[in-house]
Amino acid sequence: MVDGQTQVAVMMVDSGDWRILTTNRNQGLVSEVSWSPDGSQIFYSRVAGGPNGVYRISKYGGQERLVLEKARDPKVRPDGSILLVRRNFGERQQLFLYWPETEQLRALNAAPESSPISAFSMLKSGHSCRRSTHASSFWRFARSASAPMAANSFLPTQSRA
Amino acid sequence: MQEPKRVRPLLALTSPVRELDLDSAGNLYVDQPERPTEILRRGTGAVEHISLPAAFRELTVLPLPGNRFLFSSPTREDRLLVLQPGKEMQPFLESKLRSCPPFAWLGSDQIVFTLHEGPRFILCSASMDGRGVRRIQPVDWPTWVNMSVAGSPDGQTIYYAQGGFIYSVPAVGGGPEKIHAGDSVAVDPAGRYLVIQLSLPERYLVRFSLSDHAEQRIQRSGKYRLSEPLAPNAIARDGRIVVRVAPFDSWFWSAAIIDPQTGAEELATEYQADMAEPGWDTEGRLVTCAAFLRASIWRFSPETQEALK
Repeated sequence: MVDGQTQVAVMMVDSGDWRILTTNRNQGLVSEVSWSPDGSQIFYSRVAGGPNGVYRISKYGGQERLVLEKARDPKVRPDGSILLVRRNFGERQQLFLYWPETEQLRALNAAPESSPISAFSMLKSGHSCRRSTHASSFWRFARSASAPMAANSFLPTQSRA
Repeated sequence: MQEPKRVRPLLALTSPVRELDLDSAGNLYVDQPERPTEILRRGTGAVEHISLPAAFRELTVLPLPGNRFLFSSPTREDRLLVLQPGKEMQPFLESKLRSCPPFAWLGSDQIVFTLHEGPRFILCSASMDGRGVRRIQPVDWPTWVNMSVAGSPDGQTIYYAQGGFIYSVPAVGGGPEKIHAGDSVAVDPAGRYLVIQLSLPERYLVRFSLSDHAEQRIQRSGKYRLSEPLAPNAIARDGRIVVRVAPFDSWFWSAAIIDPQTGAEELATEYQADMAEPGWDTEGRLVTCAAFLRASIWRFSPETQEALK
């Protein structure tokens, strides 16, 4: 946090050295960071009253880039697609998959809680665990699924929270 | 739904966890945020800091006569509490009724507050020391969080928000009257008008005259985004309005003062803290609960490679 505003920083854990990458104070606070699969970039939300958008920045710093407007809570999947939250046409929060290369956006039949969509990021197993509004439960999103998925592709794997 | 698989505690932590993550070597990273909370009271001099017990978080507070403050319980139990600095916290009601926010002054000697009876919420009144509970009006709220109630300075009328509208009901009971669209409400200390907050298509404030029902949108500079709800005591005697806002350049929800004559908005303090429903006390001092933030990230390494599997 820099003067009351969250920014993206990178720390070398073993040395404790760290560096603040972002400096913008006008696009809202930073939340929910996620590494790209090759570790070269960091994706994150900016929020100001509502979701301002998903942004990315090189791990070395530089200019931050807007990835997708009015979206939040990005989680980059191993294939480079991004699981994120956005308002749908009914103005309700909904999970989407977004492919930055093709700018394809596909809605998933799931909605997150109002809090950030994950308490967990991509785990070693390649699964992303999410808490869903519908059942207050954790859900698993299969790593192998590279294509847009239907609702029944979300498999509950943990108990109700 | 499948039955849970085996759940095994890994760590005992001192603060709630907001985020956790694993690296490829199996190290676990956990944040440990703390939210030390105080009452801030700002008159013409320096800001006063009134300490709160460690269990308190960002909460609604209503100043009472005699340097006392009405709170909701920081635990899950529905219980309103009264804090007097330097003294032990006391329950607001002597009985074990489940009492909760929202709450507000009702005239100079009463409080309007909420009882939680089974699935129902009921607006009630009581004296400033919690005696003489009177049930006034059931309300159809899904929860008490972010709900709104206010009382008229003459103690005759209660205003409350329900389902996107502001209602009035006589304090002695009777039929509620729908008076305006809105999500939260504050009463002018002189009882001439209400300030109503609406949320669609964006959050904005309206001044609603109680004499002729004329309404006027309150101009704002747009410097900050409005949060919700409006505190029942958000209007100062000189007409200034204190609101919770989301500054573009801050992580925190701050208190800001609006001058309705000019639309100018300024932060009430420079403290970096979340402030809940800021309002004014009867002596014209700004009062709010402020939750500061101290956070750290911890790394836990497994003793064996099997430990985190």
